Amino acid sequence: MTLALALIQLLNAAAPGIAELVVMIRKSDGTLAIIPMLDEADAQFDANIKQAMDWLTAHPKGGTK
Amino acid sequence: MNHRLVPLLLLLLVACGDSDLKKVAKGLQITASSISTLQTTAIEANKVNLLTEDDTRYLLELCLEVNKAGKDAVSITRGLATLDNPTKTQLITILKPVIVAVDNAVVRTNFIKNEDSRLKFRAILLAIQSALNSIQVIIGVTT
Repeated sequence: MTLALALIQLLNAAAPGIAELVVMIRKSDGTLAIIPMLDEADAQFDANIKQAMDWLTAHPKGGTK
Repeated sequence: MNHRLVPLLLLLLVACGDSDLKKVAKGLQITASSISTLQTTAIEANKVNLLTEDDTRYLLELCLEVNKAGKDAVSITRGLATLDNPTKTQLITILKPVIVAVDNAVVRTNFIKNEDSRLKFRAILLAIQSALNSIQVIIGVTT
């Protein structure tokens, strides 16, 4: 409850940037850290795509190793 | 002062009511990490002739499919406060084909002749399948 009130006061103090603050709270609260997880997944998917494409380009179908 | 608190409380509730969204994000994170393991293991196994070029190509092409679908799912999920039905439908459309492809790959691991490699690849594919299934349960896909 104390934490919730503190968060509300924080939001109140910065009313113009509420959306950004909600995101910040989600990032700093371990139980709601969705955006960092998505960022990490996205970066890993990018790295995976590069690794797979590099190998597939170097080993074309029907080519010799 | 109180009239300003009501919308702020509502915003706070929305921000907190996203456990399904968190599970989807976690599922995507685990999928990305498991696919990375699968790719690296396949490339290394190919280097030491434990996996043929064709088998490695099959696995990496499967991984590419999952990676691209994963990126699309991240893009849709990013910025949401809650997981609503239209978003679930979008995620179903993107993820269902790769869920089927991974299911098929698990069955097809018999093509790997070396037993140790076959068990290793099957274990990694099962981890990917499990991560995708956890997302599937949340968004309500039935195959």
